[in-house]
Amino acid sequence: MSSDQDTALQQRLSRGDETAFQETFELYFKVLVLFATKFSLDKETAEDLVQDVFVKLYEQKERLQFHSSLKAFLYQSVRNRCIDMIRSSKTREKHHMEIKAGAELEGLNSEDLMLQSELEEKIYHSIGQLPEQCQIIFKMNRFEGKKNQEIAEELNISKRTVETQISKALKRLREDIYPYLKTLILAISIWIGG
Amino acid sequence: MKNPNDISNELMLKYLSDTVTTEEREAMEAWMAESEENSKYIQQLKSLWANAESFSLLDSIDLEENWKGVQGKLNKHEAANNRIFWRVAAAVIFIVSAAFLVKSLMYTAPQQMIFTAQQQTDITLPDGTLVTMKEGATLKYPEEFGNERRVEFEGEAFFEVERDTERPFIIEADDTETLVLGTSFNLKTATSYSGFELVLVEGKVSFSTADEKVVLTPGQRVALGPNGLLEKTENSNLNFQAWQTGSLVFENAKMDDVFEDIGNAYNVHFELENPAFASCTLTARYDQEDLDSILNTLEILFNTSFTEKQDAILVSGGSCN
Repeated sequence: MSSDQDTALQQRLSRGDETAFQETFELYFKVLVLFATKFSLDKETAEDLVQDVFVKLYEQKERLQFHSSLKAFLYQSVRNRCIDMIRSSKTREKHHMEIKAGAELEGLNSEDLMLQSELEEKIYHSIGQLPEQCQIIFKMNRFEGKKNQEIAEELNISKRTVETQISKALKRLREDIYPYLKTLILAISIWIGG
Repeated sequence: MKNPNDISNELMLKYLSDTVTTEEREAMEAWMAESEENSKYIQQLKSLWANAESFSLLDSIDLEENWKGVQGKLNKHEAANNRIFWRVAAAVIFIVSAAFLVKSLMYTAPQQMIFTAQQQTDITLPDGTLVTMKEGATLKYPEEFGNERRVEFEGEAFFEVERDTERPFIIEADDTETLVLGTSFNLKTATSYSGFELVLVEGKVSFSTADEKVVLTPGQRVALGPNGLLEKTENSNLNFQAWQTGSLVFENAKMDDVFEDIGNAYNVHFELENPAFASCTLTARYDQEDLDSILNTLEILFNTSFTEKQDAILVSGGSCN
């Protein structure tokens, strides 16, 4: 989502617009859960945590105007809760686990994780825009790691059709994701260069 | 990887999605072999791309269920806030009723405060009334006033009564009642040397004994005569408040009045040995003087001397000049 859209949502939220809250939820919930799982939380814990962040967003929406951006508020809230969770589990676990969690905590670059989550969500979103059969084939290929031959047999279609659908999917993805990929490439270049 | 666009994005995506032909794979691998940066770059993308977990995770998140979850938590929060409200409300009600109970128990026996001034003292009553008590004066008042503000008093004091038309201020003194709403006045109960006297400075006072009642306007005084009857007059004594203000003014004042005023101001009593001296007159003003220096000036002016006795100061000699 563009920063203009983000600003508009933020303004509507701080005015107490209820539909803006639901729109924010639909736009951000999945990607925030994905982001949270990158702090090695399981899906259920991540969902619960992001739900809490939306509760906080709802309760503080009038004060949201003081935050730099809606997106930053959401990612920061999730990040802080994840780190708190790692810290509190750290105290409960054994010594060697503490070291491991501590090291993980040090190594986390939430900026990278955020960009990664955004890209993955964008890819996922693009797949969702594909025609149904194309989507099924692509998901079988990507998510289930099935070979084109296996997919063809399973769906009772020719291997050629599978290949066509996958290349259609790729074409669509390339159009949708290219701007994100560029951002990511830039981020990685800086990271490697540094 | 100075220029990652060396290879097409399509090829890159194909490679990442593992749909490349053998030729394309070789081209990709050749490009990666060109530099360590290239291969690192592809590895990064590959680790992102190959993360199928992310897609299946995104796929498995049920937005509707989570929306319900958020709504549920919001309702719970609201309910919790309501519970906190009712708990606080219950606590407040409990405290208020406890206070009310304690107060109503106390009311049957309201705590009486008795204050006797060892020296000139200002005291503030629960209603804000200021009483400047002369040395030796005693005031009895409740810790908390009810529907009326009733106090018992003996001695001399200057009252500045806080105005409260709902609750009259009543002073019981020497079997008299002084009823005021908001005013200031000087009240003096009878001593062995002087009678009961009230001088009104401002406001309105209703003054009564069992048999009589007078209403005073500012500048008037009421005294209880030796016959027990009330005497209302215009106040001619400039020094009625001298004990409090510390300033004495005499204009052609007869010496027996002078000694009464000085005695009243400094809480002493004079006895004149020479009756003729009583009719001499004095015009003078004393401001914040101590008793000794006033007596010194009188010694010089009237050729008199003062001797301290047990309960009085004896005035010897004295002649008009």
